[in-house]
Amino acid sequence: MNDIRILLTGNPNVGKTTLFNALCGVHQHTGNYPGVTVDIKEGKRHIGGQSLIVCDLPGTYSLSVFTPDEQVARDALLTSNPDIVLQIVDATNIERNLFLTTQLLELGIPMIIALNMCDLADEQGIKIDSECLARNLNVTVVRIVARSEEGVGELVDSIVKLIEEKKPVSHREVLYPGSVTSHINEIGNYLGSHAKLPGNLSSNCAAIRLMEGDEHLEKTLHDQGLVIPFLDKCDPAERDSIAEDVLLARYRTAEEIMACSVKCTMGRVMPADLIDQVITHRYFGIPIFLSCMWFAFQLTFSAAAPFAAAIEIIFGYFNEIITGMDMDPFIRSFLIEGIIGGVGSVLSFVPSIFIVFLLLSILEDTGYLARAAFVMDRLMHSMGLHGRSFIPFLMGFGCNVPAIMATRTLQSRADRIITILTLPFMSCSARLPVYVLFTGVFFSAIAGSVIFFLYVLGIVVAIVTALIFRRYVFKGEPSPFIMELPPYRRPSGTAAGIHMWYKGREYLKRAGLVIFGGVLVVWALASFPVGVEYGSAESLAGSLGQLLQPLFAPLGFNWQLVVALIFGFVAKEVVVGSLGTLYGGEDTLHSSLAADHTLTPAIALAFLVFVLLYLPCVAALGVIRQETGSIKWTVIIVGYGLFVAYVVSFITLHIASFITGV
Amino acid sequence: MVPLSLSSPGEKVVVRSIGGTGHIAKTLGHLGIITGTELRIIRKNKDSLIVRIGESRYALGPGAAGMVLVDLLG
Amino acid sequence: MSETVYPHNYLYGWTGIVTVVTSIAGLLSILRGAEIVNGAYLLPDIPGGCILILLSAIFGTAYYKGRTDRPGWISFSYIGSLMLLIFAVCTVLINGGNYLALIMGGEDGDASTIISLTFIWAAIIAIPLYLGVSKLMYKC
Repeated sequence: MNDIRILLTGNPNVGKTTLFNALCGVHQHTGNYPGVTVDIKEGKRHIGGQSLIVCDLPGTYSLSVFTPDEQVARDALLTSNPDIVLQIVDATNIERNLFLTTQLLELGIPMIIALNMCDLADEQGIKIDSECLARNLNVTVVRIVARSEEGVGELVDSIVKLIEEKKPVSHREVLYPGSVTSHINEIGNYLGSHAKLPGNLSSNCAAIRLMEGDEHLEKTLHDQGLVIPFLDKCDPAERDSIAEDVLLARYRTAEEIMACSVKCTMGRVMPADLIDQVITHRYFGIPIFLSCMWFAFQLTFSAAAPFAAAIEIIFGYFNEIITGMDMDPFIRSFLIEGIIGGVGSVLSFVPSIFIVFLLLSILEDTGYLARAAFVMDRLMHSMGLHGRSFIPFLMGFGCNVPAIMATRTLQSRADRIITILTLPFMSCSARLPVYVLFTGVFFSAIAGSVIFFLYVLGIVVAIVTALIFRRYVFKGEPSPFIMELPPYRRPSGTAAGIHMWYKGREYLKRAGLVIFGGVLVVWALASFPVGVEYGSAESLAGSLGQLLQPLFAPLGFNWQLVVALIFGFVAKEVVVGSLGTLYGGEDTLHSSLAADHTLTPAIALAFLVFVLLYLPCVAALGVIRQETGSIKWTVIIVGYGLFVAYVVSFITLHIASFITGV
Repeated sequence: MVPLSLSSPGEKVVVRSIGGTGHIAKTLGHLGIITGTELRIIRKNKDSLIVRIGESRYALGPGAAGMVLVDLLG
Repeated sequence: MSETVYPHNYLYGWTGIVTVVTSIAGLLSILRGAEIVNGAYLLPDIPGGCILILLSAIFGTAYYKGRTDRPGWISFSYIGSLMLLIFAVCTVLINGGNYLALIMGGEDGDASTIISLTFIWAAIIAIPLYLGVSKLMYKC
């Protein structure tokens, strides 16, 4: 029994992920560290003796490529040879979805259309004759309501039936104007005999793709040394007009197919329009957004707090047990500071990260996030950023890694790089414990305000960076803002829950290992050479710190802070842990810091500023390298971050000393 | 014919032409904004707008809105 | 439209009441936060107070639009009351979480802080408005 490979495709916001969850349930994993649906998830479903392997592609409006995630979708569809293409079509908005359908039909791969949101269509008085659609397109059409899993069983049955029937594919064809058709034939014939096409791409389909202006395909063919008849001789204006002819032909076909559905006129004012009036209001829009963010922020911390407290209690318990047992002090130290400390550091993050992912999913599902991006666009534009960068920024406050991956939705490379450059300045939640610790010790009464100040400082530095790079390095405006505003939907608890679970799990896997490893390394450096007092100046960690300390002398950091910074490179969560180690115990860290004469409030503030700005953790750097595709930019980001951190920290130190008179 | 950025909320307009043929024009095309499409203006904030085509809503920033030339309908 | 006239007027008046209540609630929260006013029932909460003032501005706008722009009144009241209700639930969750964490840490907390009275009372007052206006929304 073979596996059946299915590619799940469709416009953005049609419920692809919901269907994917319904099909595969818990049997899914991601290819990359998760962003907000901008990467490929694969899942399995077992039927009888066969497995369906379902690939959830990023949403696209067409096979043309403007953003990296559209590239992912196009490549998968054109070159990976799936057994079936499953397109999800939003029943409340068929016409636009049909554009992509006309392109998918031409691929020559067996196809099924899942008509989703039939419940909403019925509510809105849209009647669709699915048999008529199926006949018109010559593909199987199945009605589903992904959210309630209605129709999913039938869908799976249709998939299996389609594979078993092995009927030759003969989908409805788009009627192109005569001139276009003759060129398509000409090119198709040429390619058929001369070209090596990727995947199972037919020469006819390749010809149409070229006429539409598929640059990647063109490049592949040119690299093979081919000269494409007719097209290579056209000038850009002619190419554009041909592409437009193809576009119009597709829309005409879509219109004809639309005869299968009857819907209400556009005259009505819909509730969503009324809601938008307020949410995107010129004056109220931003305050409304800020209030939502305030609550989201507060919720993250307070909902996570009980879990964090519980984790502390459990670990305290383990600690006591081990302390009570009789064993070699070295091993005891390894267990307590190394293992328990390590696992504890990771787990203390988990609740807030999960909640951040949960809240973001809910906001995205309701459709509010798109409106918020629209509202913030004007502001972001004036800072040299694209409105769409807004979502990665929000995510950056939780964790930089998925935020950087979310930049795949931006169209222009310049926009993407500038956004990635500024993301590390959005203080991620891993840095928070450091802030809490130091402000608690040195600024007790105004601790909260100091932390707030740090966040704001991060944002300010980000804005200045964006402006500088936009003006001097990338010259030119951010690309125009075009974004679909999905309909408002009630967020589904289960969908949000599944989203949260998988993203959280991936975070744990990736970051967790790094952090745990980091803590062990800290322990090792603090314990060796053997026999030395744990975490003292004579240990390896101490020697390292003292070696590098002169570099940081102008900032007033002592060697323990320097070592903590170095470990912070691995993962910010390790900073507090390493300080605990170096000062001889995490429980007494608070008082040890207060008692340390080399530290003053001014130096503490400078240190916090440095931690805020200096560099993203290893995991984030890895993703930056991956998303920018260039080592040059990764190095620039590291260097820039260190430079900015040093300078701003220095300034802070002096201003703060001046103010506090120390 | 006026650019979309100069229309008012509540109006129904029809697209007469799309300036330029670069990426922006193509993106607009793939969303369904081509000559002959009817749009309803839902909201306007200085230069950016929200328009509705059929059942879908799109937010367009000033750069994109300026490229679309429309005529008022009824 | 005639069947909706009576509830319509009633709801409209209620919008005015909600506006006033939220603005007072907001002011009190801010004053309590700045420690100008003291009261056992109020929680010091400057940002929360500002948000309440924002909401009262939204309700105020709704009231102002009520006579001339009926859809405008409906949309502002709907969003305002929806936000108020959601935020009230959030404050319960937030205070609840903090309280739980405090207890688990072995400290004593004041359970009544879970019910941050300003938000909750304002939200309760807004419930009828929300219910009434949401029915109207879908009839538009």
